Amino acid sequence: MHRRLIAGFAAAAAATLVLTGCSAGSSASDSQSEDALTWAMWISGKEDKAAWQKVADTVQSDDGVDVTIQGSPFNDYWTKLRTQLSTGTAPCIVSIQSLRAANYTDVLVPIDDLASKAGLDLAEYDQTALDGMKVDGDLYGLPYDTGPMLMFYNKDLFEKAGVDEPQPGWTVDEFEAAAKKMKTAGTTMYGTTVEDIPLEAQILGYNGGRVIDEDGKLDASNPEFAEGLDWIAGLVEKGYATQASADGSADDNAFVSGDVAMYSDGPWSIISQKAKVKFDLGVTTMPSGTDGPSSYAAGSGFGISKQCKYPEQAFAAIQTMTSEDVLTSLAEQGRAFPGRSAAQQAWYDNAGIDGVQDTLTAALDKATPLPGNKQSDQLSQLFAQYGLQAVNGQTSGKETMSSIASQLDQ
Amino acid sequence: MSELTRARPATSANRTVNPRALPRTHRQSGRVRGIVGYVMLCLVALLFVSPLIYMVATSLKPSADVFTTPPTLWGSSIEWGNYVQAFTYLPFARFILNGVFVAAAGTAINVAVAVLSGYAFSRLRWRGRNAVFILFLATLMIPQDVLVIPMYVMMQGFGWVDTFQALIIPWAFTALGAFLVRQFFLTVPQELDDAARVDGAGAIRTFFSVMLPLARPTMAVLAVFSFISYWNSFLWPLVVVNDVEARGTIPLGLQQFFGQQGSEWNLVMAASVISMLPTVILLVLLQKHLVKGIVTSGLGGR
Amino acid sequence: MTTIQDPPAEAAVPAAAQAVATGTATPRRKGGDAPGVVGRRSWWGAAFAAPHSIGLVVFTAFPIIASLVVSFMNWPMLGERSWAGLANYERLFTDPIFRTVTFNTVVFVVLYVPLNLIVSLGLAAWLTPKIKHRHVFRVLFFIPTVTPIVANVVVWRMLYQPGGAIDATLQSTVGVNAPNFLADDKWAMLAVVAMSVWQGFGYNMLIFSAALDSVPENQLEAAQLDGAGAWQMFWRIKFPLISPSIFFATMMTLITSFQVFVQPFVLTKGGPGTATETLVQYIYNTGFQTQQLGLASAGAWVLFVIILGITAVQFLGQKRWVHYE
Repeated sequence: MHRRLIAGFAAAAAATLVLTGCSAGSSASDSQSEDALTWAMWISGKEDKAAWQKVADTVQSDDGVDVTIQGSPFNDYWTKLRTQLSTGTAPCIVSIQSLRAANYTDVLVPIDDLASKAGLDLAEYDQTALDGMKVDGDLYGLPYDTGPMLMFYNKDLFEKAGVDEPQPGWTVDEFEAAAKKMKTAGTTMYGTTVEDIPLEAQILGYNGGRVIDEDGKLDASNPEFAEGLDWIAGLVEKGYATQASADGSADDNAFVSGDVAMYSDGPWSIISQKAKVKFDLGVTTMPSGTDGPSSYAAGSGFGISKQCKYPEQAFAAIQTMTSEDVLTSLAEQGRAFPGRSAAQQAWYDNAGIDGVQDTLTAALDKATPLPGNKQSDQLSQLFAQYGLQAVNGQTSGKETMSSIASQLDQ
Repeated sequence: MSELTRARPATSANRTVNPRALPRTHRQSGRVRGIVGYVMLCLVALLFVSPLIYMVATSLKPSADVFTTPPTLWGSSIEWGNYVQAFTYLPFARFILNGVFVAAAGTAINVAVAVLSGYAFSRLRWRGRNAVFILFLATLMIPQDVLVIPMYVMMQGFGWVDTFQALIIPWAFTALGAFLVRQFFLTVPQELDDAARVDGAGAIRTFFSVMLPLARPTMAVLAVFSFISYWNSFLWPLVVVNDVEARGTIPLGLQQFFGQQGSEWNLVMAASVISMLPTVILLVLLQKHLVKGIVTSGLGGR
Repeated sequence: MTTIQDPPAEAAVPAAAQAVATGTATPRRKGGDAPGVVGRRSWWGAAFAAPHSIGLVVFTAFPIIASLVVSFMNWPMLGERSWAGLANYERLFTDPIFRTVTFNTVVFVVLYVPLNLIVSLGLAAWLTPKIKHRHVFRVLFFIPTVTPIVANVVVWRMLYQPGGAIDATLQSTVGVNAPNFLADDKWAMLAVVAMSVWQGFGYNMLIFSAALDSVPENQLEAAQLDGAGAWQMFWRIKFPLISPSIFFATMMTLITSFQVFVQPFVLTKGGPGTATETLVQYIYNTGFQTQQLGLASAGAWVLFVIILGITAVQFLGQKRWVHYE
């Protein structure tokens, strides 16, 4: 009995010791100092890391600030970022996508003031890219890449089916006619996807339907958008497009394996796809059915978190990271299509795909920045779950959008 | 009387059923049945293993052939280079090392504490035993997803963010092991305790000399489970590790194959095949412990 | 405590007799302390359980209690926190999606647990020590458990998708198109269950295999002498003797299957619609997407109560079929 009490006390004492003794260091932003900042970035593989490390090294040599990259896999970058933000351990420099900027305005520093203090001429950046980094008129990041949604196509399959290659700016009717011919030749034209950006771009091109309006407000019951879903369902039914899958990479995989002749993707994938596919790769614009914008432009950039104690150093860093030299060098490596107009030529030269410059110029011309919204992530998830049913013809576009709307509290 | 008693085969005169005493046809039909059964087992095994065969085959395909329709087993060429590439694409060797270290350390702690507590919950009587056991079980019923953030805050308090301790220790005390070991010890006949007591063994000696050796199969099973749990753990390492190259584990590594610019599926498969090896090796090594117990020989190990 | 029929009585006597015979049953007592073995209450039990308990308390108590407290609060991941009382729970119970996901989870459990147990017990029983190369078979059957989920998904998608292995086989043999399993709300859950069983049965098979190996040989021999066939041998001797392990496997499979998340999420993202969305996916979405940690924690605690209830029922019922020594 006596011994039990002693044992109990000993145990409690040990536990207290462990708890108190070890809580000596709090690590919120401990690792950051005036000359050492952390930078959160999505990384896939050593090559990727090396390329971004070179960018970090440029900051070291130009600004004397040591930037440490905290890499996460792309799919999980946001989970990790949010965890860090909610526990006060976020890095100073935060990579952000234009699509999601609206989600993070609470935790990012608006950098217009910092920009004017540093004397940075924002006109040097591609305006679409810059607009993508703005929410409600405030700038939250400097863009490093941008890109309108495009369609990639398999030149070999087009040739085999005797279908003319699509020209930049082609219409929905031309698209459907080509799809019909492709079907007769025995190939499905389009790899359907319900991933948010390509899906929304496709419908925007078809009839201008938008689920998020220009001001960033969610409009889930937009009737044109629902019609757009029905149009895609029609394509699937006629055999012009594949059935959709919850797997976001299904269309990509089908294209690479030659099962479909076209799919939607952005310029960020052109170089890697070209290296992967065994056929001749072509790019073109999204088919347009209206006079309005026919595609969305999305991009990524670097922002500064509010938890950062050294915003000015951080700004200097991101300025260097999006400088003409750095972006040109990234463009030469075939990485992202640069967010600076001056660096874009280097990218065209490196890409080595016929007509890519015309296509991209035409696409950028008719592209509008994809506005983000606080509920974009949820929307993306809901598209993956419900969009499937609409596109595969199980439910109508209207029913699907109303299910989605009800879950978004609309 | 035993419910198993029934009329003995008329052919045997003594109690033991001597196989050689049976007529030849009985023996033959027994053997045929044995062979048929074995063939069926092989077929079933093949059925269950076929997805794995497909995985290995896919890992040897060139990138463009991974998703052909209809699916094919082999691509247009056999790319052994995929396995080399998996190691060069990511710091994969480092991930394996990290994973083995974390899993081994965590498993060691887990098995050690669980075998003690499982024993306590089953063969010792103490006040509050049932209540504590219920609490143990209760901790298993909360999904890890909601525990991750408070646990992260705790790690901040300890100064353990982005350390190996954070990967190993918080989950080294899960109650699963205690439950498993308890169930095992409940099957051990009381006579063994009695015999030990008669021998004058105290609690500690009874445990270490008598009970622990018996628990080897269960400990082996627990070691495998614990190792796998650490090895495949994803959400916690994602949240708590900042320097992925230094402390990342395999699931984090595998996710890196899925980039913004498309994914390297054939490399993913190659990396997956590689990542299965340590646990399979562990299982093979522990096979000799997963053998017939020594309960009936009384005081085994003497 | 329930005892089993004849065999144990026969086994116990030889064991104790052996102990006496090997000269270990000396009247001399080693050490002066009272032994803390079964039958006497002492503090040894607490001491043995202490390391585990302390670790569990230190590391799991805080997060668990924290999540309980958070469940009563309005706690967005980024932003203002406030007290919410029972509001989160109210929201859950009035949300039709919550009811759907709870139902889906129950469906999954009802399909998965019996299948898993039958397959694992069946294979473990089949792989008796008599089988040649049983170690190889055991490892082979176990490998699916250690496959990374990303690799599983590739294979099973390949099986299920239109144009995939099942579709192609059906077309070439019967000339009929397979349904689009993962996009058809009638088939999606079954498809998920199939993959989950394939991936998960190895655990229980290993447990049952180890348990079956521990069945005392003399009891099996005695049964054989009495003329028991394989079927009777299994149900009358082996099953009762390994019932504590079966109980463990049933309990753990129930507890973990109620928490299923990854398999349906990576195969179907919870779709089509909400056909395969489970409770933990709902919790995950609420926590990491809608970023309402309070609501997510509330969901987790509702799940906890459900699991606790089922576990309690199992524990109360174990007296009927679980045999302990």
